[in-house]
Amino acid sequence: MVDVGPAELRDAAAKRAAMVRDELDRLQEGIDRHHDDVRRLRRELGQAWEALTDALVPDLDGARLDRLSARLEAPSLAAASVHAAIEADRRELERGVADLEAERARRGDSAALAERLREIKAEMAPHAEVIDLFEREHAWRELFDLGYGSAGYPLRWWQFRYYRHRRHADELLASLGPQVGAATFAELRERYLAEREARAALAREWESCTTRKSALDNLDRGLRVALAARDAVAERHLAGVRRSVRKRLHKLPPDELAERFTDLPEVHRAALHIAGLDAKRRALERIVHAWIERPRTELLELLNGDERDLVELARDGCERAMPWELFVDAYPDLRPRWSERWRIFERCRGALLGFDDYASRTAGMSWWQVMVGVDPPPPPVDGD
Amino acid sequence: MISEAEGCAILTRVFESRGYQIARDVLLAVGGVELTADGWDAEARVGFEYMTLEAGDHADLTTEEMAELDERMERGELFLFVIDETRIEVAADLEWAAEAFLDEVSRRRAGGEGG
Repeated sequence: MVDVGPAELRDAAAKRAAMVRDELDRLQEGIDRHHDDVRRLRRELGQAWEALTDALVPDLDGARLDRLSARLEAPSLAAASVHAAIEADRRELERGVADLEAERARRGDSAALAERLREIKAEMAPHAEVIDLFEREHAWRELFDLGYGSAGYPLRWWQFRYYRHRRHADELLASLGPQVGAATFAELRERYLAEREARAALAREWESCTTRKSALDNLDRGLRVALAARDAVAERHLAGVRRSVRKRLHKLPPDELAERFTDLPEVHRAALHIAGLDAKRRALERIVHAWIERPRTELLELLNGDERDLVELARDGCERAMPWELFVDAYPDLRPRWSERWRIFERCRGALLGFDDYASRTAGMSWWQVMVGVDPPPPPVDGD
Repeated sequence: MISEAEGCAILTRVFESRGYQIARDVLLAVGGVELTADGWDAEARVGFEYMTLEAGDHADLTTEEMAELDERMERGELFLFVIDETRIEVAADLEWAAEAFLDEVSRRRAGGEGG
């Protein structure tokens, strides 16, 4: 009997660990793809439910609602009840619209306010120009703030700064006086103050108009929303009835749902679609669990064992050996098995995802048989 | 910027050109105010006081003291040109202001206003 020594054992463990890591990566990709598949199926299921409720409740026709109410044993879906709720809702919304319209009329004209705002802007411009004329002069601010040209000016004729101010004031008067029609600095000051006050008054009016305009705009928005709600009242109740129907039918097992509506072809088709999608989702979960998740767990354990072996075999003085016959069993080539597993998985997944002829299901056949066929059979679930 | 020494020299020149006899650093007692005038003609009772931050002079005269000086100058008892600017960039500004002050003193002495 030939023994396999530590070097060969280490090579075999390292080689297998590398292959297992690659396979684990591939399995992880399979899980990611599965999550994408489930998301797509969920979207499609939502659309199928919409198709079913649209077919079951295409409108709020009284006779149809009464039949549906009886069929689902749901008095709240009876025509009298639904139509009364719509009328109550409509009346309430009409009241709201009337209130908003009255308030709108009471608050005046938005266009007139907008026009006044444009006028104020135009009226402010010449004042701003004159004020700017003053404020562009670097000496103006100090003289104005100190009250030069007014009784409040604090400096006296025996102070140097008084003369500096006087000089600046003379220069400002020479420059600004002719432009604004002022003969003395006091007149300059008065003109500046008058311009500022005029601008401030317009700014106050602007603020007030803006506030009123904003309130009117809010009212207009509220009115638009209320009108839209009033106009869409029937539509909203139709959506509510459909939601209520869906909630009730959701409680039924999907296959039973299809059986309940064999007399309504369009509804039956939608119900089969829902049942098929549900079966498809469960079948996908099953194949992913059996051929992706479970092998992944097993391979992780195998990898952990190989990594422990590699640590031990790398130690100085390790004399571990294994008879050739045992070595062949311990390190078999796993790739053919993996390849076969992937082949079956991909075939089943492709068949499941590609299936769309839900109406073709016949009594006595499982969804798996309809979608995938008899070979391979569905993988057993844990505990089977 | 003109220093206090340069400023005082300029003011002395301007005042003297207008006929005043300026003595430097004269101790003045005006009512409750005591100060050392940078330039002073004791006979004419005309002079100047240069207040700069560098000499810390701004702390020398309180608001009350300034008010008392004002009162006396309004009555024509004395005329003290107070340079209350911390930064004077150009000599011509100081000269122009001193001439304008002395014109005002002449006007007041001639009986235009005050004492």
